[in-house]
Order: sequence, then structure tokens, then C-alpha cells
Amino acid sequence: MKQTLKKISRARWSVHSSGYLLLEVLLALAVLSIVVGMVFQIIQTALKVTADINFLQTQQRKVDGITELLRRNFDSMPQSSVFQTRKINGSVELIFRSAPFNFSWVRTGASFGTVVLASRPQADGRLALSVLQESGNALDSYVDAGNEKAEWFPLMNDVEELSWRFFDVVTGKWSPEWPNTAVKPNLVQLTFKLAGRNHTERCVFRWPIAQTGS
Amino acid sequence: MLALMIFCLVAVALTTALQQTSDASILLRDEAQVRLELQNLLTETAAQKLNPGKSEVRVGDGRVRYEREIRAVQAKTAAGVLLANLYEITVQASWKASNQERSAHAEVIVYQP
Repeated sequence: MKQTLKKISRARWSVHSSGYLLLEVLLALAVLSIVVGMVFQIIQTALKVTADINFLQTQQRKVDGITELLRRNFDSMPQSSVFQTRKINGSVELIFRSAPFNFSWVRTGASFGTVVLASRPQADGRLALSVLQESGNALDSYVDAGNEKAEWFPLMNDVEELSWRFFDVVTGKWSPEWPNTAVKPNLVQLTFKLAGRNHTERCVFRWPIAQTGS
Repeated sequence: MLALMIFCLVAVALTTALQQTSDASILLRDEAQVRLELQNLLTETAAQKLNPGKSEVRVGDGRVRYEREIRAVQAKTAAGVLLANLYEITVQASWKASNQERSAHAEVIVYQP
């Protein structure tokens, strides 16, 4: 009896030591593939979330930056400046005459002239909120002579929609254009939608009270 | 089985962390938008004729609820002279994010003779 048990034990040991069953190998491979698949899924999601967050943060910085830049432009506008809008090819242009060049970063000191803010078409069909600063004579001017070779400087690219509104405190109404150069609007509202964002941004700028007499 | 269990725990922890990162990002974006809108509403209100009272303001898709309150400020100088035509504008925003109520407010004192 003892001899028979020893034989069986030896036989089992020899079966186990010879390797794994095919079923065990297949099961291990299946578990491994599931695990690897899940790891890849997690890594992919992590990368996507990181990219989305970066994109959102960059766009938010862009919105904050443009808001601050335009706010400073309106705040620093002198009383002698003249403001009006005009519509060219369906796009509203904001024209500031006798205005400081708040959008240039050159070390030649303060410059004055005509500043134009407008949305310009990009090559991909989107819009770019751009600025044009003119200090030369009227013959070469974009505003007065329609010189199309004027150098526009983009402030904000990849805009899908952009519109302006101007508030008159006397009538208490907003209007899409401001052709009257005699007075200035109390409030200027910019509304735009950046590509990749699902909501519209709104920025309201106040013209200095001393200039509007409100 | 033990290894698989540990892996599952790690996977769940990672997913939760990702969810929290995403929530934090949405919260930051919401707060930035609310901050901008509060500034817009203060600017807008200060430029118009001020009538004391409380009112709700509809902005955008209505996800964030904005309330505006204008009240006359009873301020006095050191000599006891009442300073008239001073108004305090308060704008309050409240919204829901990650199943939590959030709120923010901004106020400014305006002189409007």
C-alpha cells in the first residue's frame, strides 16, 4: 500500500513539474490582455483629460488677456479722441481717432494716430480679432483712403463669431453700430465664441465717465 | 487573484483621480467665467441709472443664476455730514458644480449724483 501511494505521489509530482496546462496558459493570457487593455484605456483617458485641461486653460488665459487689453485701451483713451464705427463687408470696425497706440510694444515712446479694431477673416474661414494702428498720412490710410495693404495685427485668432454693441445712456438702449462721432457710448460690449468652446464669452467695457458725461 | 484585486483597486483610484482632476478643471473654468460676468454686470450697472432694489439678471444659458442688488449707502464724514448719492452695487452668482452649490459675489460703491 505504501509503495502504491509513493508511486502515485511521484507520478503527480512529475505531471506538475513538466509545465502548465494549455487551459492555464490561455487563462493567464486572457487575464493579461484584459489588464493590458485596461492600462492602455486609463493612460489614454489620462492623456485626453490632460490635453483638454491644457486647451481650456490656454483659451481661458486668452479670454482673460484680451479682456484686460481692451479694458485698458478704453480706460486710457484721452478725451480728445474721436470714436465711431463703420460696417465693411458685413463686419463692424471700431475706429478711434487721435488715440494712443495701446497695442504696440515698441520702445519709441507713446504714439498717437488712428486705431482700428475689427474682425478679419482667417485662411480657414474663422475670424481673427485684429488691430490696425495708423500714424501716416491720409493718402496711405486704410480708414480714409481704403488702403488694403494695411498691416493688421491679430489679437485673438480662431474666433467663430464676434459682435459688438454700444450703449447709449440717454436712450437707455444698445445699438449694433455707433456712427455718431459727436458723443461716445457709455458702454461697449464684445461678444465672441472661440473655436472649441461651447459657450459665448461676453465682455463689457466702460468708457471713462468724463468723456461720456454720464 | 490578489494581484488582480490590487490592480483593480489601483485602476479605480486612478479613475477617481482623473474624475477629480476633470471636476477641478470644470470648476476653475466656471469660476473664471463667473468672475468675468460679475465684472461685466458691475460695469453695466454702474453706468446706468441706479434704482435701489434687488433683481435677477438673466445671462447666457441660465446655468448660473445672477442676482443684483443696489442699495443707498448711508455714509457720514468725520464731521457727521451725510454723504448723499452713494450706492452699493452687489452682484451675486450661484451655480451647481459636482453636486455642490457654489456661489461668488462682487460689490462696488458708486457715486452717482
